[in-house]
Amino acid sequence: MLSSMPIIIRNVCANYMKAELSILHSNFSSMHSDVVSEKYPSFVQEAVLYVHWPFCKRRCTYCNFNKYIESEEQNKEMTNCLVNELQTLLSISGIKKINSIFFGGGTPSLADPDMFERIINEVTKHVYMSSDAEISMEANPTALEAEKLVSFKSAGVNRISVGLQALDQRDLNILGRDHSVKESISVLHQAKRLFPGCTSIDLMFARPGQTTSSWVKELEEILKHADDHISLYQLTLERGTELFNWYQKGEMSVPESDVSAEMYKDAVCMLAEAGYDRYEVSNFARPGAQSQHNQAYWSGTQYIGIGPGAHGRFVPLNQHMYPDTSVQRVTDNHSMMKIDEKVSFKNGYLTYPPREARIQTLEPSPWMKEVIKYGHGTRRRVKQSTKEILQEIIMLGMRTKVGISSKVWSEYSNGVSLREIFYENELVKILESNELVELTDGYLRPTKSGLTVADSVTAELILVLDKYCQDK
Amino acid sequence: MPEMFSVKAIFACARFTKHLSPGKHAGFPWLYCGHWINNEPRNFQRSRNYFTCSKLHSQEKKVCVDMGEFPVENIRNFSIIAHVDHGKSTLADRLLEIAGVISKKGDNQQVLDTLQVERERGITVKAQTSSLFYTYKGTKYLLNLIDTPGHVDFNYEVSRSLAACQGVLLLVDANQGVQAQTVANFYLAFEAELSIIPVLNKIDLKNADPDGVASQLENLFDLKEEECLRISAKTGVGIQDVFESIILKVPPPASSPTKPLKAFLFDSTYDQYRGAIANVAIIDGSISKGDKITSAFSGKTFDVSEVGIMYPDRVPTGQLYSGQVGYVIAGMYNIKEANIGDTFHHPGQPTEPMPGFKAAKPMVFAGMYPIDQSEYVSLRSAIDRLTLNDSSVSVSIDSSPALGQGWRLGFLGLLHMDVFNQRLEQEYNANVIVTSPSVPYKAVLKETKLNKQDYGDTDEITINNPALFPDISRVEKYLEPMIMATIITPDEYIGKVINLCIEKRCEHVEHTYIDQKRVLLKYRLPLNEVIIDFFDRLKSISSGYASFDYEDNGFEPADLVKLNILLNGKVVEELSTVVHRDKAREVGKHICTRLYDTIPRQLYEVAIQATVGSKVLARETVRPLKKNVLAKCYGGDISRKMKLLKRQAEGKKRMRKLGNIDVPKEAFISVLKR
Repeated sequence: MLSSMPIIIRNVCANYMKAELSILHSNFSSMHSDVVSEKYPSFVQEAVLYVHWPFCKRRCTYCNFNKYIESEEQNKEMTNCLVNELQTLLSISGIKKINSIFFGGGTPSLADPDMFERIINEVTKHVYMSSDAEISMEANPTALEAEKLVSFKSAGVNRISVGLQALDQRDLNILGRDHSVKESISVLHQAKRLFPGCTSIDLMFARPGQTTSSWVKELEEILKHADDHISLYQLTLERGTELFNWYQKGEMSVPESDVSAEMYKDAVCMLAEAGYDRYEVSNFARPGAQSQHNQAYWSGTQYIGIGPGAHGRFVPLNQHMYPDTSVQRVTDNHSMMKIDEKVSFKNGYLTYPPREARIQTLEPSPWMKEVIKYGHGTRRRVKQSTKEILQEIIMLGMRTKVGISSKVWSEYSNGVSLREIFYENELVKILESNELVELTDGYLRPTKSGLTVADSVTAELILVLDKYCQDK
Repeated sequence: MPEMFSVKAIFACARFTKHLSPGKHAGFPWLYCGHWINNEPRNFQRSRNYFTCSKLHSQEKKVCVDMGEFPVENIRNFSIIAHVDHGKSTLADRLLEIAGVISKKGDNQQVLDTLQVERERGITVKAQTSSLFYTYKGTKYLLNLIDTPGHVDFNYEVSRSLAACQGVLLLVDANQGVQAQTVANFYLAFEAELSIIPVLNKIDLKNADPDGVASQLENLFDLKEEECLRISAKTGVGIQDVFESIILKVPPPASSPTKPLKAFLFDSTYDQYRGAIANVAIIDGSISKGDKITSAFSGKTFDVSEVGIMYPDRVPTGQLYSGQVGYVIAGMYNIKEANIGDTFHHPGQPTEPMPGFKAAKPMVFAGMYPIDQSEYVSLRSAIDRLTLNDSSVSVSIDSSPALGQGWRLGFLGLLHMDVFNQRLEQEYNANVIVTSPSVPYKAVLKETKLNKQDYGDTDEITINNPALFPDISRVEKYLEPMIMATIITPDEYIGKVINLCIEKRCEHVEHTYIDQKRVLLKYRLPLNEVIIDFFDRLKSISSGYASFDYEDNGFEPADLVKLNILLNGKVVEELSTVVHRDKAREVGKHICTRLYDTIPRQLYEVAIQATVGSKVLARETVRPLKKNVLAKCYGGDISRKMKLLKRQAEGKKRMRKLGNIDVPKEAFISVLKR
């Protein structure tokens, strides 16, 4: 489809982009804290940025993520393309402010530190980003990558998430990790020295053969080395992974759901005692050490994703300046509530288009080809209905300790308040009386036990929302 | 034309004759027939009708028959009766082949079994007839084969078919010997005073023991060993003897061509375009295309647009004469107008009507619901069309909060129900949920003001729906339907069979050795105990050797209770069931387990209880979820996760909310379904 687009349009596209970028560029030197224009509400003018580095040295046995074995010559080109895509999306989105950057993957610690620097520079060149904005990256705890930590820091990275996964050599082997227990502890300490208070650990539980008592012991050991942030993931068997195949063939078993629930509960308890607060289902932090970037996702902030397979959610304020060259474009037109279509001069603001869910082309090579050829690698654009956005806000909110904020809700709900929909509802009242949710003036939030069954609670609330939309 | 005699009509005629002049004709109706034929030979010299029978196995066949060629004395009407699988349809194929009705290409597979379900299951569901012409010692005979359904559930059809016969072939597998249904069929024919020709089939098989089986027949039925024909319907051995026996041993029907028309309707089918196709036996007189005929039952008059014989498809002949069997199409577009058992006469010439048939009474009830409610309308039309041809199915509209809109259907028995469902699926492509079958109970009410107010003057009510089960305080006694079961089994399994019957609350009636190794048992059993798994279990404990047949046997007082199912303390009415008190705990446990297996763990605990009155007989608890949240959710996970959760929410929408819990449709189905 792309290749059938007339050349002339592609040129127009490229010219538009240049023109727009130079305008942005000239304007930005004067913009600082009040960068956002008053023509639009501020939440459509800011975003967080996700950068996807798709390459890995090897494929872990539990992983079905979009990642590919690294090849040296692709690295440079990948970096160029990421920068190119970043320019495009910043321009299309009309974003004036980036609040944080996250480099994920894949294995971004395999990338050249130059990549980080170029992305960060490109951001600050076009939009406002606070000098203390959180810039995170994921790192594998191998000796080789540890050597690069200093350069990552000089490139601008200020927070690191170490993929420890386990402190058990046998399990690391089963998971297909390329680091030893000893190696990862040493990398962890190095990271702590470079990023004090800003080093996170990724851990995995409910691993094959794991017992509750071995998990508790392991966690005790980890707490001796940990910094102020821990992410805890239950191993999920994804179709298409080696681990899944082993499980299918009966060569391997994982703890039953009640056992893994026990493991999770024990961990929440131990981490709380050690001063880590569960601020999201799988994230624990000491005061002030929460990840700003991830919190942005959960609270409904816009995000731009660049790189193969990266997702984004934003209002494309300037899309009209570009021919639509995305390969697949889906427009969802279920009308919900009274809102939905363009909002004209609402509260004195200009009309702006609906928020979109965007996905970039999945495979690295085609993605790069598209970026080079057309200046972007967006594969799919879906206009989100108000209901869909609100469903996401519910789902994400119910995973966090703070819950759904009525302020964020109102930004998307066109004036239908959180209270109107939920606070008098019978199903919600049952949830409340069973101490699964709390209703306060500003928030609808899960209780501690509600957080543990967030998916079920979300399903209930989505039904309540559906019913409300239907009845309207 | 081939002159078709409805065997049944002739039988009926015989009875009628008996009534008119006892002593003279009783028992010898054929003498009477011979008499009138001799006196009225001209009646049969009519113009010849030519007809083409084109539908037969894509083979064009020109048949030229003058129905007048066949005086009553040259007519034989007979049925074949047999236990399932003893080769009835194969024998019918051979007879039709030899008589030239169908070609001998060797691809004739149960020609008279026209339904897919009949061929697949090797059973005959719907009676079919076919006329045959056979020349014996220079005389051309008209033989009318009236095929009968091969299962106990269809006994009413068997007796209908037999009413049109003067004789039967009692077909017995020479390997398997007498089976339960052989016994039942024998007595049906015996009571109808038909001549019975015993035929031993499958003598070509290695293990055939025709002598042993012949002596069983002698022991049980007093049929002389030397009178047993020995044949193989498959290879064709002995088939000529069958023809000979039919001609020599079966009497011709008793009919009078001089009397006014008297046509007996013994079966009917429905054609979408032509309305009812009435199978008739001409007792007296004759019927022609263009005649007007009047129903003795309704008084309505119809125009006869077509008259013919079955050969085995419909072949128009223009006329049918006394003693013959055929079909009549007379613009009866409402199947109810072709009332089975009705007698037709020419307008203004009424005759004494034949005694009709008692309407078959449904004994097994089951709910039937479309799997998807959007298929309700198409399922309704499928059921309508099937019941057009099977008036023994009772239909009432029903609805269930879990299963939606549906019907409660009454069947004659389990097989009848199975066959009906299978036909719905095969012929109408319908997807249905069939609920576990139940039987009609009765309650004898106390004489109280309240009962009078609720039930009127009646002191006995029939309960088809557990929701309407009256409380014991208002009832003198409950009654349940009984059956008389005939079981024939090799004696090595007798212990197990007796134990099974005891478990099913049996009452012993009879225990007879029919030969050295095999026993005939008669038990009186509650129908309720038989409808679920009795037959399957009997087969499995006897390695398939025991055979089983039953007939209805009145009602008996029984200690019945209503078993309630509670979810978190609330009665779920549609899961209630009526059971015998002794079985309540077992059934309750079973239902609780099924619910436990199908209700998913959810946010809240689910207590499942089975109760009778205030007494809890069984309990299961579905513990609440300990954890239900996917581990990771960042920018790239949101779309996928949202999809999963929306699906979960959609799934919940399809579940039924009972208080704070969600019960999936599958849970109801697992309990309600067979």
